[in-house]
Amino acid sequence: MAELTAKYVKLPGRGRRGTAVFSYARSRLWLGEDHLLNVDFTVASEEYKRFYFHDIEAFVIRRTGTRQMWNWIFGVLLALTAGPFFAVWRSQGEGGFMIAAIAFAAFWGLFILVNSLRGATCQTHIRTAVQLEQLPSLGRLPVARTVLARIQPLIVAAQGAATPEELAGAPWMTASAAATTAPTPYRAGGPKPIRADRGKIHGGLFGILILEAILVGVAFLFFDTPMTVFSMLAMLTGAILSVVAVMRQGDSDLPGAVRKMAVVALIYYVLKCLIGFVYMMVFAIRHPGTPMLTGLEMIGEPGFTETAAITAALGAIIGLLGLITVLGHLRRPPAAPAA
Amino acid sequence: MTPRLVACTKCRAPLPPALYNTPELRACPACGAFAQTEVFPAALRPPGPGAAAETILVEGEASCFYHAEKKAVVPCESCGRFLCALCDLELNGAHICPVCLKAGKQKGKLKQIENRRTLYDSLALAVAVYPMILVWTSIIGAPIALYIAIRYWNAPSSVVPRGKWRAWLAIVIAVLQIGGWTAMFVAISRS
Repeated sequence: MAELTAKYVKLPGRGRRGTAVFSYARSRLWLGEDHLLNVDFTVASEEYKRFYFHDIEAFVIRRTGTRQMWNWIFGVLLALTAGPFFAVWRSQGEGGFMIAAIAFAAFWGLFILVNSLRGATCQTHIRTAVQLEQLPSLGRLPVARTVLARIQPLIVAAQGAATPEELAGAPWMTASAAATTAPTPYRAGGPKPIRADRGKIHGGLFGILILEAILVGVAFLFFDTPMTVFSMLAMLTGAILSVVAVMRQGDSDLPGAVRKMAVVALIYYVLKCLIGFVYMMVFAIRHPGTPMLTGLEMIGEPGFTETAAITAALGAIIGLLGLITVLGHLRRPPAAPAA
Repeated sequence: MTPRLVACTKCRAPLPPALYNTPELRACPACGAFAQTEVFPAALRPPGPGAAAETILVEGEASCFYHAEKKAVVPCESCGRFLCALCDLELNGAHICPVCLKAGKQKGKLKQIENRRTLYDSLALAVAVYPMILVWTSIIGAPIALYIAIRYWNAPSSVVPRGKWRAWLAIVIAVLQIGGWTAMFVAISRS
């Protein structure tokens, strides 16, 4: 008997089968010529489930609150680990405690950032005439929508258009039936933008970047402590806004340039935090016991002033370019609301 | 025909058709869970009737190997036996009998219906790595890992694309462990 071979293409997303605490298999989804293949991998074996395109009746993507749950857990861990060091630093002013607080905050903050940027969590089920099966690998909404956008035309092509009699019995099928002749309504690689966004958060982010650069310049020129505090507050606000902007832009109608500038701003803040952390460590090692409250104490450190000036200028440039892209977006007439 | 409604995957309540095939998430009326429900034409169609085998009416007609009173419609492409419509199983355009289907599944020759495979490269790697946690157990684990990696080198791997690096890694780790233990025992015996 000739061996029947099948070629598979890996689909995005990976997940685990089991409960949130205990999982017994890693799960991935593969695209075959005429079917989807779900592979559950345990220590030394694989289990396969095939879903042929002509058998698939429905695809259900349900949003879950798992992302928020993990963010809360990481947030509590952040507070429990960084909080005590921060409190000691506040009372004693020892730079080492501040570094420890930042290290813990950055560690758990990174988990929160990655978890947030991966998108909302969801459970995806596939239904055939005889089964309702969960696809653990499609556990994030953007990934599930990307995969659905990719397989939807294949399923419709395999099943053919619904007949007029079938459509009369189920008017909701019109969209799927139309998809046999028209291309898929989703754009390749992601869900269709569905939310009109005028770019207020992005505008705020780029404005904060410019303001922060001005505050840093004033603080360093005039050795002004309140200005340093304000610039730190601006940095904190900007960092939060950059995360929020990148998270929210996924399903918006913002142009690519605005989205890219938001990502650049986020990378800028991550790098700035890393550079600041390195300088704080160097300062704490070189000046043990010296209190460090505003950052102005580090002005004497080699290269610190130049680095601060360069990062401030870079921030101003990103902010300016970002504002230009947002203004360009605002000049476009608003999209007509969906019927 | 009334189509079978899709149920909410959280509360199992039937979702009203108004929530189907919308580009955004919609709330389940029963539990409030937000979901996107994409329904395809297959949901509207009743399952096809099962094939019914014809009874032989004229003497001398070819009969099914498994049902002597039923008319043969096709030969099995694997064993050549005549099959009636009931015994004819179509798999990717090929007509095979239930016995060949079962044999093909057991021998792993039919990838299309295979639902489980042992991955010997992963097994070898696991046997090479996990015993290292207890250190001494790797004396037994390393030779077993080496044996599994070599013995099953040509065994069928996953049905999806998969490299050989796990088997190579298992061999390297196992050889290093065996070398390390040998060197240690030689050093102990000399001292």
